[in-house]
Amino acid sequence: MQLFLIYLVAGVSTGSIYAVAASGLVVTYSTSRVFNFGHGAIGTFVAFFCYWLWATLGWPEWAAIGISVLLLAPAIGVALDASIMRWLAGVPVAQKLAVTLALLLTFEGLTQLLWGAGNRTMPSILGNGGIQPMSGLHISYDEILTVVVALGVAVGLWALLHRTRLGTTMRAVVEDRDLAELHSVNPGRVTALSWAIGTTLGGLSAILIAPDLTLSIPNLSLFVVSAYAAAVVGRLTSLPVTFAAAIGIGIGSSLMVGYLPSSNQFIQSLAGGLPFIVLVLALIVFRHRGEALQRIRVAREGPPLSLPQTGGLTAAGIILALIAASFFGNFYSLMADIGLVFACVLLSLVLITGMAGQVSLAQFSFMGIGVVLVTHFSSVMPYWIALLLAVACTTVIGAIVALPALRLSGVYLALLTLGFAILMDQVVFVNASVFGSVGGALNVPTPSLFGYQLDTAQRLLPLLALVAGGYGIVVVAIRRHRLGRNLAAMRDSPAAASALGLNITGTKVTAFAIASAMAGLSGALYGAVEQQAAAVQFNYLASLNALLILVLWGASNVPGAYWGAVFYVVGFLELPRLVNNPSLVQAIQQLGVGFAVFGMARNPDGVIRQWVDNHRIKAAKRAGRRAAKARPLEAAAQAAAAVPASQAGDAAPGGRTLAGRVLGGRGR
Amino acid sequence: MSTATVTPVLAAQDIRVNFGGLAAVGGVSLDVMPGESVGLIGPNGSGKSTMLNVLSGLQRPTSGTVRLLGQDVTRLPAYRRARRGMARTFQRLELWGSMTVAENVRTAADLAGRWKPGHQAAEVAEEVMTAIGISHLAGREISELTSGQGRLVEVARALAERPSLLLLDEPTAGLSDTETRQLTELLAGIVADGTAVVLVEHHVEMVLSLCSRVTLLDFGKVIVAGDTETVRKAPALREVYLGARYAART
Repeated sequence: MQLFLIYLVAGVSTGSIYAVAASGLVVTYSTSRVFNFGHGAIGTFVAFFCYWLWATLGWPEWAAIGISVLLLAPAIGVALDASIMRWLAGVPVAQKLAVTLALLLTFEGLTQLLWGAGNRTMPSILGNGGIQPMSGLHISYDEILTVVVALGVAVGLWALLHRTRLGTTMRAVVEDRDLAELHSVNPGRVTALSWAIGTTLGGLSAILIAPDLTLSIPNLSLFVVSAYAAAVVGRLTSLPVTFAAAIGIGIGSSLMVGYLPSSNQFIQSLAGGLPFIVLVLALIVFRHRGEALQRIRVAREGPPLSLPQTGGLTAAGIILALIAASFFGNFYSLMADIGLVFACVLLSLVLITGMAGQVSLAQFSFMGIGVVLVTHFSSVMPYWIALLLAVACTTVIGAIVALPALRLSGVYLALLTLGFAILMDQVVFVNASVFGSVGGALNVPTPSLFGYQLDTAQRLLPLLALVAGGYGIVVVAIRRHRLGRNLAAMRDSPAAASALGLNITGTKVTAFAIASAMAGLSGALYGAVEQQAAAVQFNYLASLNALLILVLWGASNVPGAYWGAVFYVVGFLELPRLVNNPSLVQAIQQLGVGFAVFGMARNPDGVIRQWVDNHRIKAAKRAGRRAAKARPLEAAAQAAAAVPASQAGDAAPGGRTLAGRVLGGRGR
Repeated sequence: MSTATVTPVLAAQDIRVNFGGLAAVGGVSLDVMPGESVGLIGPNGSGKSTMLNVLSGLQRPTSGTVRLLGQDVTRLPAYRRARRGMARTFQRLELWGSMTVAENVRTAADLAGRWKPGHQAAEVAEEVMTAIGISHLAGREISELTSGQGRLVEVARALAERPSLLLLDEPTAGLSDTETRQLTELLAGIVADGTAVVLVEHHVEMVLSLCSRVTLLDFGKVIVAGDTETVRKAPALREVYLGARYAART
């Protein structure tokens, strides 16, 4: 009984902090329809700032906490709303997600840059004292504080939304932004306020939890990801349900830690994974109506390259790789190898996210599955058969993951794949039988071809060029044929597609299965290149990073995947060699990707598309000038016709940005 | 009735849809014979679009049955109804925005062609676009169309499936008078060829000229149903559209 109470108190306290974090997410989402994946990172930044004021500069603790929570955090929220979030209204879901994921990277990067990577211990807020209601049960003042704060937040938010004019206005904006605007509400002020509340609660929760966890970036970020589960149980809109769920998850985790047998590593890891299990279950079980009705807006696509063009480029690439392999040392071959593998993963994302419109935050998890399976299988069978079997298994796992994903779209689907990725990290990949002992690495076998062992980066290069080129051909072929058009129909308008005879279930499962197979094979080859594999290489952050890099170059763009790979090699492999400071390098990488994606917030079709459009506009202008000398009137008409619709929309006075990209008629 | 021996293409019986406490559709029945066009009219919010969603399978009814060519399809998902010969357009355009006009029509023809032998997708797509008069738009991106053109593409896409039952949700909204007249003529031809049509429209004149029978809905209930002449003369039509009832109440 005593033990039970101890775990219960700890659970209620953790749950209260989850509740504060989750309600911040809900407030922001319900007024701006943006699910902020950067919530945890912003909270982390605020907590580090607080630590800096308090422990480094020696400010009084209440001043430090007050300034961090009441000044810095809301300022961040207001600045984000004004600078980025308002532009996201008409942006496709994948790109919208990418922007908040970029927030995650940016704030982690900033934290790293300003305060470095070393872990710190945040002193406890109210000291080490506490009360002792019965012998053996010690409740610390900090635990009492968290519960009081959570209750205060709950009551405060309720009063704000239901008892103030401002709250009524906020609810009006949620109902119908345009209508509220017509009734002289300034929706900008309302969303700014909701972002300020969101970031404040994020910062507050991070400061509250910091004394319990080490003050480290991954710990704090993952902690807030746990709060996603509570927010999803509250369907991203209900504050009371979110609160109850958060407390429940806190208690559940705590009791599992206390009562599950500690001898079994797998079962213990379930306790840490509980929030993510709840997240996945809540996504599967509940209906998430709001998002399903929301139309998925579409990024434009250029005409795809023809198959001969792609084939020709691939052949050229392979010949180049063969020549390069003989000139390059092993080191540069290694870089090229990793770049090609990265291109393969990005191509799997082009298929599932760009073409099928299903955001996947788990591609690196599938890679991890691929490399683990090929390694374990090849100990009992020939390499190529093991590879085939591993890819087949990954395909099946991908199809199985797709099943709960069937009813989900947009942010809910992204959360489901994220939940799957984190469960793989927390529950499966940590097992000693999977990647070897914790923190250890798996020795991955290398293939041999016609008796020729492909066991160096140099020798693998042509094979990888062949595979990466093959992936490009496969994706282009799919796009040009029926499956590609069906994927596009499903992504553009699922309602019309199913009403005209497309089996959405089958199409979605097929897309997931193919993309998982592609990722699984990439993983196996990645392992062969490095000859070693560790769990950390395949964690959820790697998948986030891949999605961001792809979106930057154009999510539905095949050349974009190759450019993204080049970007990765330069920024993530070459940069660390030039700058001999790992912490600084990581900060630069995260900030670089983050800021690049913010740049894309106003241009969600990606860099490549931007190049093409600019080129078209310039060409049209040149043609216009030439023709203008001969026939002035016709030339003007031609030039106008040549400007892409989106650009025309952007340029229209008072027109909403991106309006041109949203389907022409739309019945309005 | 003389048609009693013929199987109706569509037979919807006592359809009810409740959204929470609100009865969006409260017990509506609808029969359509081959080569017949039935109009479904009523003011905004009268349950017309919900009814079409139920018929096409995008909305599960709270109760009631939908039969297509004699078979109960109430529990079938939308795509399986489409494969049995049902096609529809949408009031709020649901075009596939990343494709050109031709690709939109071609994809629909492909989807239908997979289930019907002898259906040559590419040729059918060409034919339909010519018939509707949108061949000149074939290469256009959807974002470049006017909303009237978008509606025509929706109709073309549905026709490319060579459906036995065509559900049209306000096909003339946003069309010019000339375009409306042309579309009415085209639809009359399709009906004459034996296709069954359910037409949801605000354009009462078009409904009255195209449809042989009309059902008037208000607040999810059938106010009047019968052949076109009866409904045309019914006082309820004017009341519902002109709001006489509400005027009388106040």
